[in-house]
Parts: sequence; structure tokens; C-alpha cells
Amino acid sequence: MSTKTTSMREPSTTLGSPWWRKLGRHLVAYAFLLPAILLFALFAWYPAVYGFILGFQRVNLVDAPEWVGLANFRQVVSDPLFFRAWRNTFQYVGLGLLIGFPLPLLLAVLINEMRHFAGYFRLLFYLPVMLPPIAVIYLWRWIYDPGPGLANTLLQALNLPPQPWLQSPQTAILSIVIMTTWAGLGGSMLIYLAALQGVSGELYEAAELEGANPWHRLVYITLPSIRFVVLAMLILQFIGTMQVFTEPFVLTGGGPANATETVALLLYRYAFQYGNYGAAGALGLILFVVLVTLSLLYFRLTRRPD
Amino acid sequence: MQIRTCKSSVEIRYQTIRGLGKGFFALFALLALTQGALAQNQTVVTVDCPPPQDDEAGLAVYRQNVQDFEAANPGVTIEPHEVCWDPATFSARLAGGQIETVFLVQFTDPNGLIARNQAADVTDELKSWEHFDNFNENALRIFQDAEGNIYGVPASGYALGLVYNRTLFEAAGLDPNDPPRTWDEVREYARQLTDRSRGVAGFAQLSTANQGGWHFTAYYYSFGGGELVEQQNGEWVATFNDETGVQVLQMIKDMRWTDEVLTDGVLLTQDNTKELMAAERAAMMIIPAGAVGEMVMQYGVNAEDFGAGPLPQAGGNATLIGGSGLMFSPRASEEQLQAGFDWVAYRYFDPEVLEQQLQADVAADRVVGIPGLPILSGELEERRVALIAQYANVPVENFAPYAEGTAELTLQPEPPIETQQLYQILDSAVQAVLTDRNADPQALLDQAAQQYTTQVLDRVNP
Repeated sequence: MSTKTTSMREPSTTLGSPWWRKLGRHLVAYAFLLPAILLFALFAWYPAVYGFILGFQRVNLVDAPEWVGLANFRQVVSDPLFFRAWRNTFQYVGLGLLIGFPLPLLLAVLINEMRHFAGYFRLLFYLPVMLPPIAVIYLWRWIYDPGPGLANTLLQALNLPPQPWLQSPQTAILSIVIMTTWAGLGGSMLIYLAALQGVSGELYEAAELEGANPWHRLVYITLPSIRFVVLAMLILQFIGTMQVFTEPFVLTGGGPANATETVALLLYRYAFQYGNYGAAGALGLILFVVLVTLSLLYFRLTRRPD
Repeated sequence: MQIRTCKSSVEIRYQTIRGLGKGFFALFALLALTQGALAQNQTVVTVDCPPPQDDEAGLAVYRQNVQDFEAANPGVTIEPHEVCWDPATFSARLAGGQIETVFLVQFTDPNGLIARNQAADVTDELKSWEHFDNFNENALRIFQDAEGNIYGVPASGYALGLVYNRTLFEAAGLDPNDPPRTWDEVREYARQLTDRSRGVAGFAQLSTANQGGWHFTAYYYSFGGGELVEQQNGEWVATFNDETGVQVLQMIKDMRWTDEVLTDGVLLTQDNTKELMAAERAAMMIIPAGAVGEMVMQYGVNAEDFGAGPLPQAGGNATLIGGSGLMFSPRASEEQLQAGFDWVAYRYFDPEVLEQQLQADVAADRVVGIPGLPILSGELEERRVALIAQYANVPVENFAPYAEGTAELTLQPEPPIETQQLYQILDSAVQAVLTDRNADPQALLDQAAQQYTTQVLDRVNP
């Protein structure tokens, strides 16, 4: 005796059903997603879109906004600080990738090789990450003090000439990069360590049997295995450092002599120091376009043939 | 079977809560309605920046003032908000309708606010005040637009001068009652005061947070440069990149690299230099004389160890004035503006209020007696001067050079177009000469002038 089956039972897939039936099927799921979508929309997408709209308006937040077309963009581009800010930002990004990108990877590889004390070193390198950013900044401001600061005191103890650190346009960006590298390498290092754990031990054994030395193991097995993690971290670091703001703002105020004026800092200045929201919106839109373009280019270049 | 209708304990609790809820709701509604009815007859004036919580004496005076004012003006309620005006948050708060009816600003802020229509026109309220004609013209002009409409009330002022450490002067064999009056003398004194082995620099120069540009402006006036921004043929033109400007930057550069009398760290704000002076790591700085009072309060130094002279000169015979004043929300109603102005006139200019404030200052061991800039003249000013002389608790003679010397100088206000932005642009020029031994002052000033022209003047000029 067969029981009643298909006619009363709902289909187990929604393939071929109209969209409203699909919605009904997954209503509970959408309901769970709704708060997150609303929050994102309100606090991330709406301000971003509004910021882009501001780029085409002149606002004083008292009267109605006035559409001014590309005037804000013209003003922003004609600011002598515009190209200086982009140059400083790219310099910062470049130094960050040169110094701050390989270091966590190197440390992770080294720690991964350790048998004893690995946990101790992991903690040691992660400690700076746990400090609040403002605390880090004030700590390093003292370290970089040209008189009694730790950096110059150490240099003098080693009979090396004291450096101006933050006080000179030539060394200011490098000083900030050293500070942010110190503050952030623990986090990246842990991510690389996790990725390294996933590399199969068999590959190493096979390589040893073939007579590979440690360098070969690193270059031909380790790095290719964690390739995706490394590339992902690269683009994340790139996008993050392009928007650097806190460190120049608190440490140097954009100085000395505009040597650490970055695009994000300039944007802040337009909006909150000069009250020129239109220019800030325009600069924000330009930054967005540049970042999107560079990101797309990056993904195109790193796309695997498969 | 009988159906039981007794209530469970949960149901009873639920009903009680509902009942209480209805009761509270009714009570709140009643209160809200009555408040609403009361509020309709009241003009509420919100004000910002009351004395901070740790200033008990000042806060007590403030609360007393609020009470007395409300008693004398029955239709007005003063509601203090514990925030101070901040350019970074102002626009957002204005857009959100949260800006206070009356807010405190510095002298550098009004021209930007007026240009952006972000402050209310209070010409009528001011002109109908009995003491209107006694206002210091220089101070009042800061709150006026080109047509002479007034958008705020100056409340207190200062003139920049030279503050120095008398103890260090004596140690270097200099007369502490005779501060340097010219820039050449300053450099000479600084050379004698600098003692690297003890970590003492002769002079501390500001260069960050728009204060480098502020100093540049003051020095420019003292060199006789005139205005930094002038109207020529109906258009505003930047004129600070002339010979005088170059002389100013060259002097700062020489003090840094030739005389070597400046502090090691050169990215300094007022807070940094006050700290350096208090710690005796710097001997002289250019700052309003009132900074000594702030150092006493913040760092516990002795006021007797410090003195003040007028701004050193190099042919200009002028100094830069600054100060603070009150402006009004552009969204305020007529009644609120009038009530707000009455409050300002009472709180900032009434001699009895001043006396209460001075008594509180003395009781709190704060410095009283350092000369400032008179905002008013006439009877009110005479009473103010007499009261301050009565309650002064510093050796006033230490500040006599400042008072007498400044009285002989022309008091020039800050540049009239987007002052803060101009100062920020000039900051870079000052920082450049302080950090780069090969900096070219003329090139730096030309670049600054170009930046100011494209970013500010081109938007202002027709």
C-alpha cells in the first residue's frame, strides 16, 4: 500500500519556480539576513553613495545643496597639494610593500620551522597588535623624539649619527612605515602561519628525498602552496595603505612641509577643517576610482589560467 | 466539569505589569503635555562650553549666573550643553540641528562661518545694546562681513607677546625685567640662553596645527609687512610672498640652522611649547601672556618665574591679536537670538558677574591679573580694570613690559579670508625652513601663495 506522496508535498528544489515562490521558500533566510543588509546599507553604502553625490554639489549644510557639476573636481585637481598627496601616498604604499609585506611572511616561515619556543615568539610578535593604535602612535612619537627619544639614544649608543626621524621631510614617511610595520606584522604573521600549517608534509618529505635544500623547499614548495593567501594579503595591504590616515594625522599633522600629507588626510582636511564637503566628496570619488582600477588590474594580472 | 477561571501567578504578574505600564504612560503623557504647555511660553537658549567639571568654583559661579539671568528674564531658559565648539564636528552637528543657539569660537573662525552662511545675523541685537558704541573696532570687525553686518560678539582678547623664563634669564646673566624688544635682540638673548649641555634651548618656535602660520602672520606684522591678503582692484590677492615674508622665513631659518637656538624637536604646537617652557627646556616663546596662567594651572609652575614682553619688532610696530567670541545658530528664532545676546552681554560683560568670577578664580588658586586685550572701552572697561587690579594675585610688574609695550603697538587682527586655511598653508612653509637646511623661502612662499589663491581666493573673488 503506497502512501500519498508527491501531489501534496512541496517540491524540494525551486528550479523553474517563479521568483516569488523562491522568495517564499527562503523567507526565513532572508529575514535573518535583513538586519545585516539594513545596517550595511545605512552605515556603509548610503554614506558612500552620498559622498559621491557630494562631489558634484556645493553644500553648507544650512541651505539646500547646489549642483556645480565638475567644479569640485577642478578645484581638487588644481590644488598644489593634490599631486603631493598622491606622491606621498604611493611612496608610503611602496615602502609598506617593500618593508612591511615580506617581514611577516619571513617571520611566519621561520617560526613555522621552530620546534621549541614557537609559541613564545608568536606571542612576542603579536603583542604590538594588541596595543590600541593611539597608544602605539604616542609611544613612537616618544621613540622618534630627536632629543631624548629611544631611537636616537640607541643610535648614539652604537656610535651612529642621530636621525631626524619625523622632523625631516626625507625620513618622515619611512619613520611612519617602520612604526606601522611594527604595529601590524603580528596579525599578518598569524595568517601566514595558519596558511603554512596547511602545507602537506608529504611534499617536503618527497623533496628531501630528491635532495632539495631548505632554500629549494621554500621557493618551490612553501611559497607556491600559500600563493593565494599571499596574493590576498597583498591586495588587502595595498588597499589599506592607500587609505592611510590615522598615523600622519596624529603623528605629524601632514608635515613636515607636507611630506606626510596623504590622500585620505587631504580629504579629511577638505571636509572637517575647511568645511568644503564638495571637494572632499570629489577627492573621495577619485580615490575610489583609482582603487577600483588598480584592484581590477591586479586581479587580471594574478588570474590563473585554469 | 467546572472550568476554572482563577488566574495563574504568571497571568497575575502580567496583568500587574500591564496596569502599571498604563499608569506610567498616563503619567508621562500628562507630564509631557504640561511641559509642552509650559515650554510654549519659554524661549530656550542652548549654550555650549560651560566651565569644565573639575572647575568647581567656576561652575558654581556659572550656575549662579544662569539662575540670576533666568530670574531676571522670566521667559527665558538657559540650557548649557557640555560640549565646546569644534570645527571638525560643527558642520555635522549643524546639519543634524544640534548646534547650540550660542556657541564660543576663536577669532580665526568667524570669517569662514560667515562666508558659508553658517552663523546668524545679529546686527539688530547688537546695535540695540546700550554699550554698543564702546566695542573695540578691531575686535568687532572680526565678526562682520564686507557690508558691515555683525554675526557675533567678541568676548575676550589677547595680543601676542614674548613669554620668557626669568630664572633662566638670571642664570644667563640677563636682566629679567628687560625682555628683548627687537628680533635682533631676541636672537642675541637666545644665543646666550641656549645651553645644550643642560638641554635648554633659547627659543621655542611653533610650526604645527596651524600655529606656524599664526606665528608667521604675527612676525610679518612686526616686520612691517602690512596685510597678508589685500584687496586690489576689487579682487583679493595674497601679498605675503613679498620681501617681508622672505625676511620672516629667513629669520626663522637662521635661528634654526645658523644660530642653532631652537629646540631639537621642531614640529611644535602651543601645548608643546608651554610644556617645554614649564620644564625649563626652552627659555622664550611667542604666545599670549595668558599662557603663564595656563602653565600655572596645568604644570604647577610659579607665576613669579615668568615674565612677558611685547611682541619683538623689526620695524613694523604691530602685533597680532586674537581672542574668542560668541556666535549664533543660523536656525535660531528671533526670540532666541535676542535672549541669547542678552545672556552673552550678562555673562561676559556684567561687572558683578566678573567680580564673582574673579573671586572664584582666586579661591581656586588660579592666576588673576595677567593683562589681556580690552574688548570694550568706557565705563564697563574701567570697572573691569579696577576689579582685576583688586583681585590680582601675580606680581603684576613681571607683566608690565607686556602691558606697556603692547599698548604702544598697532593691534592688527588676523587675515580676513579663511584664516585657518591660510595658517595651515603657511604651516608648511615654516616647517620647511625648520626641517630643510636648503629650503628657499621665496619659493616656499610663492607656492603657499599659489595654493591659497587656487583653493580659497579664486572661490571668493567674483
